[in-house]
Parts: sequence; C-alpha cells; structure tokens
Amino acid sequence: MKVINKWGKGFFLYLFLVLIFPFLPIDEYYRSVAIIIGFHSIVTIGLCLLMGQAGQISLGQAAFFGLGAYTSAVVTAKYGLSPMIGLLIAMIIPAVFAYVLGRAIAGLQGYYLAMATLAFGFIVQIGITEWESVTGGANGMINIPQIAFFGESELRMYYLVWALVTCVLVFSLSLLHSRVGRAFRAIHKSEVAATSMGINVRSFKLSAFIISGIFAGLAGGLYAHFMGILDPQPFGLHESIKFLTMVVIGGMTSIWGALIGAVVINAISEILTVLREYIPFLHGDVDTIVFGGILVLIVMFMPEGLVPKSAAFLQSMKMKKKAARGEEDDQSMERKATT
Amino acid sequence: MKKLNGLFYFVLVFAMLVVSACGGGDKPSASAGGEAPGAKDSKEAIKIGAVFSLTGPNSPLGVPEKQAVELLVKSINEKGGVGNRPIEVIIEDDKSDNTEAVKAMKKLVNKEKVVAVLGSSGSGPSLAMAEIASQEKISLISMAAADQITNPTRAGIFKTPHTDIHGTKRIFKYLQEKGITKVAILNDSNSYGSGWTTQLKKYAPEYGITLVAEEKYGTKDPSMSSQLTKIKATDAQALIVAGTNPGPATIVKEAKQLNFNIPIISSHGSANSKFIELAGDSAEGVLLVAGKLLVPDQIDQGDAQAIVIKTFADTYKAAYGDYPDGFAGYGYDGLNILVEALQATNSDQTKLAEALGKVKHVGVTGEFSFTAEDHNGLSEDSMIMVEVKNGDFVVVN
Repeated sequence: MKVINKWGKGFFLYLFLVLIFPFLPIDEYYRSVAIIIGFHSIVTIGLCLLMGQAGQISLGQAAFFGLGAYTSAVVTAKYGLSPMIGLLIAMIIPAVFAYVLGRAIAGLQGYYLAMATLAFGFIVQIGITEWESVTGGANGMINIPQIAFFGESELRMYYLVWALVTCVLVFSLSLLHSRVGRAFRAIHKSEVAATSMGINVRSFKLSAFIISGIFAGLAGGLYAHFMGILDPQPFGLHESIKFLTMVVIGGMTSIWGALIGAVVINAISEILTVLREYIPFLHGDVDTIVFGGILVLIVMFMPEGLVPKSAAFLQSMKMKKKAARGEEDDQSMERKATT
Repeated sequence: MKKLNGLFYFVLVFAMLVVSACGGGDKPSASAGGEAPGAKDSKEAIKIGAVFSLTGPNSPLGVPEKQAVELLVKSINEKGGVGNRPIEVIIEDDKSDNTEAVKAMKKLVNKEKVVAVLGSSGSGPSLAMAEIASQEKISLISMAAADQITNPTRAGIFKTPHTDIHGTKRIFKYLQEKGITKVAILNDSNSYGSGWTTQLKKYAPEYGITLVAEEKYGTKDPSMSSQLTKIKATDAQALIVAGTNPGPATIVKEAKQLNFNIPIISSHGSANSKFIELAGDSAEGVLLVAGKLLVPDQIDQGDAQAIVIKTFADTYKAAYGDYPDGFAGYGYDGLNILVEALQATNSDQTKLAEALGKVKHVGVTGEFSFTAEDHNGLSEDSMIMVEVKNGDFVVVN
C-alpha cells in the first residue's frame, strides 16, 4: 500500500485509464489491441525486473512466453482442465524451467549470459516444434478454449488481462521498494560489492529469473486462450527482441517504463497501419525498421529510456516553477483554478 | 489534497471529454444502425474483407493472391457487380504473423463490417482467423495449405488450395502406374513439409508403397547432402521432396552432384518458375505434382477447366506481365466462390455459410464441389504431374 501512496497520482491515473478505455468512443478493434498490449506488458514488466533491476540480460524471454502458452493450451485442450487452472500451471512450468536455467547459468555475466539465454530460446522453440505428439509440431494446436471470466466476451477478457497487468504491476512496484528490490539494484551495480554487503547474489539472481519467467508464462497462457490456436512461430528470437526493445524504449530502470514501452511500440505499429492506407509505401516491413530506428535513437540520446527521462524532465520543470513562484505557489494555483 | 489537485482536474477534464465524445459517438453509431436495413440499397458496395501475407516470409504467397483478387474485383465491377451492387475488397496485411492476422480479422469484422473474409496465405494465420470466424459467425475462405483448417469441417469455413492429401494421392497414383514401390522422402521440417510427411506415411500402404527412408531438413539449411547420401545408400526407387523454395531446388542440385539416378518428385509447394530458376540445369528431368494452372497452354481442350484457366492466365499476364502461379489461382478461386454464394443469397450474410456449402465451381485450381464433409471440395484428379524439360514444365501423361 505504501507503494500506491508513493505512486499516488500516476497509479490512479493508470487505473482510471485502464477502466475507462473500453468505453472510449473508438473502434472496438482497439480493444483487441489493448488486450495484446496487456500480454506484452506482463512480459516486459517481468523482463524489466530481470534486466533493469537485477541487471541480467535475457534474449530468450519469448521462450517462457511460449512455454506458458503451450502449457495452458495442452492442459486445457488435451486434458480438459479449466483455463483458470491452465493459467496457474502456465505460471508453474516456466517457473520450473526458469529455476533450472537460472541454476545452470546464474554464474554467467554479460555476453555469456546473453548467449546462454539466446540458446535457451532456440532450444525451447525447436523443442516445441519437434515434440509433435503433444504440441502438434509446426502445424500447431487448434481448439484451445477461451477463458470464461464471468462469461466469454472480449470486454471481459480485456478486464481480466488488465486486472492481471495491475496485479503484476503492484507486485513489481512493491518488490522494487523492498529488501529484494534493493538487493537487485545492488547486484546490478556490482556483483562483487553486493556479495561483500552480504547479499546472496546467486539466489537473488535466480529469483529474478523465476519471477520474470512466471510473468512471461502467465502472459503466454492468456495469449493461448485469446488466440484459440498456437504454432511455434511467435515464440522465437524475433519476439524476444521485441520484448527487449519495449523495455529499453520505455526505460529499463522503471517498471512503468516497461509498461509504457509496450504501449508505445504497439501504438507505433497501429499508427503505421493507419498511415499505410494513405501512404502505400509504408508496407508491413517498415515496422521493424521504425522500431530499430527508435531503438538506436533512444540508446544514443536517452539511454535511460522514455519514462525516467520524462520523469526527470517533469521534476526539473517543477523545480523551476517552484523557484519562480516561490511561496505564493498555493495561492496562485487556487487562482488559476477559479478562472 | 493539494497534491491531488492537478490529478483531479486532469481526471475531470478527461471525463468531460469522454462524456462529450461518447455523446457525439452515439449518433453516428445510431445512424449506422439505422442504415443497416437500408443496406439493400442497390448502389452501396458489398464489403468483403481479405487478409493476405503481403510482407514477411509468406509474402511470395500473399502478393500474387492480392494481385489476382484485385484483378477480379475490377472485372466483376465492370460487369455490374453482384446483384447490381459493386463489390469492395478491403485488404489487410498480416505480416505472416498469427497475432497480426487476429487483429486484422477483428478489424475487418468489427470496424469494416464485412460480409465475409478471404485469407490468409499462411496456415497459422488462417487457423487463428478461423477461430474468430466461427465465434463471430462470419464466413471465411482460406488460401492456406493446412488440412486442419477444414478438417473437421466448421460452418462457413472453407479453403481453396490443393492439400497435401491431394498431392500425396496424385504422386502415389503416378508411382503405381510406373510400378515403383520403394520410396524415400526428404521433407522440410516446417508445417508444410511435416504435413506432407504425415500424409505420405498415411497413404503409402493404400497404394502398396513402402517408405524406405524418411529424412527431413530445416527450412534455412544451406545443404542437404548428408540426408541425400543416406538416401542414396537405400534401395529407394524414387525420392519425394516436399518443401517450398529454395529447399527443393538445393536438393535437386546436390542430388545431381551426388549422381542420383532415381527420379525425384517435388511437391506443388515448389512448382513455380522460381524452382527452375534456382535449380538451373539440375532441374532437368525432375518431376513435380502441381495444379493445372502451372501449364495454362498444355491443358486438354476437353477439360472443363481449360477455358477458365486460359482466361485467367491471359488477363493476369496482361495486367502484371507474368503468368499467374498457383497462389494467384487460390485467391482468384476464393473470391469467385464467394461471389457465387453472394449471388445465391442476395448478399445476405446470415445465409452465406449455408450457400457456400452448396457451391459447385469450376475454378483455375480445380473443380470445387463442397459437401457437408468436405470444405475444400477438390479431388486429386485436379492435379497433374509435370516434368522439367528444356527449362520448362511439360505435362506427363
């Protein structure tokens, strides 16, 4: 709760926007887009904890996403469990994988870690493709049931997804302001220093892997039930990089950044789709070029990402204003309000 | 409280905006509702949705499909449209991606309010779109290969391409005629190739054929010589290759280098001019199973399809400077079938699924005859065997 107080305005604004979004006078189509943004947000928040906070790079996040998706799909479509239980198992299985992976590679740093997670991503995607008897191989699975969240409709799916995004968000924000969050940041700065401060680097790194794996698995499970079908195509390196881009653009050090990054990337994609009607030159491949360009610009000019940068900017504006206005601040505010 | 002031005003203003926008938004939606009964107005275009993979790995499939559909729309509208109403096809690009296909489908259904949807080019996107189509009770005609799209059949979900089952049966029929009983297969490990593997294994006993070697390769593998060497060591009398280019072209080239002397039969996925272009001289003598559209000039005049294929091939060539490939044909047939059903139902969306189920259409891909159990409607007799001779496809009789 402390967290919510601290993030007061922003958090309530977020809640307000999320609640009101489906009732905005825009196409129903954007509800589907918002649901997809929700999936991405859950993954990127997890990835942000792992990368931005604990400083561990992962080029295989789409693998956890895929593991979650296939787990939930298999237990619901083949064994007839309810999708809610499917989602639960979709969090457990990737967690187990993340634990094993984390145990195996927790000692690695930098490039080596990147390579190991990259390899993990490939292994999972190939594994899904080859394990035909269970996953349907390259042809994929069909007839995955929808989630019944007080009934099956897109509006309900929207609220379910964003309720879960909110849970994930609150959990991560709280974590950040706890002992664990501080330990993550200490590890990020210097593993040696963290160890000397009595932080069990290995176990904290492991927990960061597991949490991000659970989040990605949850998002994957939701994705499977939203789509109704699965094939191994969306769980490769391309998707992992897309998640990474979202986190970097939004700002690695901020949980909100991960969320905003997911929104920004999807929004750009939608804007390009709309523009395409007027400028035929902007065909589908342009998305990737634009994302790449934005990534380069962000890394060059605001390596801290959109959210921390704009937060700092707002802060400095406030300071300037305060300095200019001096003590009359409150009175002038009231005067403004009345006019 | 003071701290919350800014937020409070923001929320207030925002809420007001929303309320006013909602008020404004209600009106057009109400009038749109009012227009619905008046939609029978003869002038208003019939909106048809189409999702093709115009970018990404499936774009060699999606682009000709789009071109064929655009050509057909023009010709239909020049002839007065459907029931005196012009047709309008709204084309979306799914970027060869399942999620994008779902978004495109939702956009077409919810925003554009189309009567039916064509697409997509790839199997994954098509399957994803079929899920939405059944939920929204809208008809869908897919141009993708996977058998799962129409097996089991679902109301209103159809597809136009030949399946791997047709290809398998046609090849086995040919092998039977030639008295070949021992066959090796070398297929792509993607969904196309693995679909073939399944069907080849399933139907082999029925035709008295034994598979003596079963190899596969990765779509992006630069060389398949190790698999070929293994196959060469067996007593296979023929090699069947199922994949999309460039894989089969590479195989054919390497087989030549390894002095393969058994016939190689490649699937319809590789049956296009690109194959000959990539394989060069090594393509000589290779057999392929394909739709008749591949050889528009060599079709028996007694064939019901002959005139349809000739007309389509000539108009397509006139418009785009090249003969159409099979994919263009899938798109062309899809829209033709849909138009036939629209004519039968006077463009009534609710009756469309039923009408599509009864369509009998002589298309460029084959003679479609949909039944309750068959929403693909083709038979293996609509496929032919061709051989590469002097850098061109020649029908084998």
